[in-house]
Amino acid sequence: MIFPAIILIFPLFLIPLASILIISLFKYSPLQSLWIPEFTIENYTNVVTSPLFIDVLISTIRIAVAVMVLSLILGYPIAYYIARSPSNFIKRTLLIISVLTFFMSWVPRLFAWIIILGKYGVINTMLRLITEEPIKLLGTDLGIIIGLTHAMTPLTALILINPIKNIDLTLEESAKSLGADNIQTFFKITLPLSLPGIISALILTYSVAVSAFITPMMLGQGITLMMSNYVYTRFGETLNFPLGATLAVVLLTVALTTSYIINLSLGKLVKVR
Amino acid sequence: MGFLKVENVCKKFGKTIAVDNVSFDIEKGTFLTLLGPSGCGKTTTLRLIAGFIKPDKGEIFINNEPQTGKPPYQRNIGVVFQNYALFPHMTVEENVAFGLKMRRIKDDIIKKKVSEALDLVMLKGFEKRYPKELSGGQQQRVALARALVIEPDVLLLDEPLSNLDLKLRLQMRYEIKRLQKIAGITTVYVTHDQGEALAMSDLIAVMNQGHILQIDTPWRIYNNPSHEFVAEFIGETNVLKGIAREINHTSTGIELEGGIILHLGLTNNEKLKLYNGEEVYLCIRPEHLSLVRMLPHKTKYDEFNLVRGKIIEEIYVGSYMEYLVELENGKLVKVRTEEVLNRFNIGEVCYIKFDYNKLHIIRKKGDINCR
Repeated sequence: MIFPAIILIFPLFLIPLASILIISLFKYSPLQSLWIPEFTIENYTNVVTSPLFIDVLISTIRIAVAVMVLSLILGYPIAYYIARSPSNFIKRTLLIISVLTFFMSWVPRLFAWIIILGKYGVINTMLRLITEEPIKLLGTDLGIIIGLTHAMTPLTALILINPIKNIDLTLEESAKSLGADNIQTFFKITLPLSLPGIISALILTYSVAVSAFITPMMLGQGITLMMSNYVYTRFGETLNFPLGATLAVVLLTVALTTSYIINLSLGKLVKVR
Repeated sequence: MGFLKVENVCKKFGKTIAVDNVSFDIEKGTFLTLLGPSGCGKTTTLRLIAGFIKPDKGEIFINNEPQTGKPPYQRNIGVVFQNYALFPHMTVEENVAFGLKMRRIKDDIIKKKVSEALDLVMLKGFEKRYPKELSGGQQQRVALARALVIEPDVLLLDEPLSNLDLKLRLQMRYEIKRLQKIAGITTVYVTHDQGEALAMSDLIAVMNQGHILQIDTPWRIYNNPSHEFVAEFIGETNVLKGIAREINHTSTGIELEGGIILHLGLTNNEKLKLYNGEEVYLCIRPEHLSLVRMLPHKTKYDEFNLVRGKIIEEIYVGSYMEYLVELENGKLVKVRTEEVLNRFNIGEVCYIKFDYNKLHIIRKKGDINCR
């Protein structure tokens, strides 16, 4: 029964992946063809020792973690209200807002953020009424974090709706009848029981954020980069396929490793269901 | 004021009236059951006492303190839900300790109390297990332990036995009653199972459509229903409409539809003092009726009314027989007899013996008794 799936995975996924891996180990010469089929690890040594690369790598992970955490903090309450609100109106409104935001196309969305965050944008124009100094948001980590969080929060919310709904209301009522106020009930009952959903949301958000391309490209304005931009630029400059392949492999490894670490450490918090 | 007082409480959900002017006042340690069919308002009443919902009108007092405005976590209550609501991510020990932890009791005292509580429900040794590793009956007992260990003022149980199999249900009835008696906690128990209510309660409040129709001891609910709904809901009763008639200036009879007249025993008549022409319901349980084939020689001092009828249906239950008899006015009466050998045939004409003294009369409007 898994046979058709294997047939798909091989040509569409594993083979391209394998070829990238192989090419990353090839030599490169700008004078000759795209790559020379001689094995070398100089691509990897070049990449790993480059200080700019390390910088961008750390920056990327930092931004992705920030986005992951912020999306959770903003998305959880939205999901909670959609799951639990007695008012159908609130439920539907929040749901529609979340879904629309999520399915909105990236480029127009980011243009809107440029307008809001720019030197003469909405935020700075309002600030000018109070202070002289405009805040630099575009071209900074913060700007990218804002843009990515805006995109990832509805995703987090949508993922969390079902796990929260699946928590029986009588469990929360039970806690309250035993003396837990609303806050205690949330932290001792609701939150722990929604942990699997939270982990899924975090991993997904992180994976999207760590490999973000358009958002850092447009909101980073060339000043701040994330990994995918770095790969694009380095590869695009020279069409150095082996280098490009190497960077791709490194990016993939970083994303997978960090995701795995997050999954492991959070997994320890989940007890017997 | 008693220990738990519910005063003129009303609750509407949209257009539906769930609880309509419900009141009762019970002493400490009483086991009160709210009994009624689905949708009668018993669970809503329980949830109002717990504080999960707010009443539109009325007040609830626990130990003379008004509870209005107090959320559940400020009321000293213990609740056992139908689905037990054990916290799946905590062990049995942690579940039972939860209420004590919320009350900031010291850890070593918590340990002691949890141990005692588990001992009481006979689950010693189960401390480290998780709810999903327990059977339904065991989960039930953990839920009980968890509610009892905090020594609440009022214990509230919402159909806790519904999810158990029959044998366990019968067993747990006595368990719960035993624990309640030991702890001496005022208890409100919700169920639609009258067997449970009759077996466990000190007082039963029979509810329908948001009202309490009668609140009384199990014995009186069964033998002296004051409302035709109560008579029909509890056990099996034949309920016949009739009009009181004066006969011979000394005795009263009930005239059923179609002109059939039943004489009443003296005690019944004196108690009720019915007037001529008053509309009543006549109730008699199938086990208080018997059938005879022929009209025996009637003496003046005969205690039985004899009414002619035709056997429509017979049901063999094993230890007794039930017959459905059609009276001459078209009404159906159920008769139960232990005589399983000498059986009647369908279509056979027979006479039903109505015992003067076992006839129970309810005035048409139905008195609503409150203690």
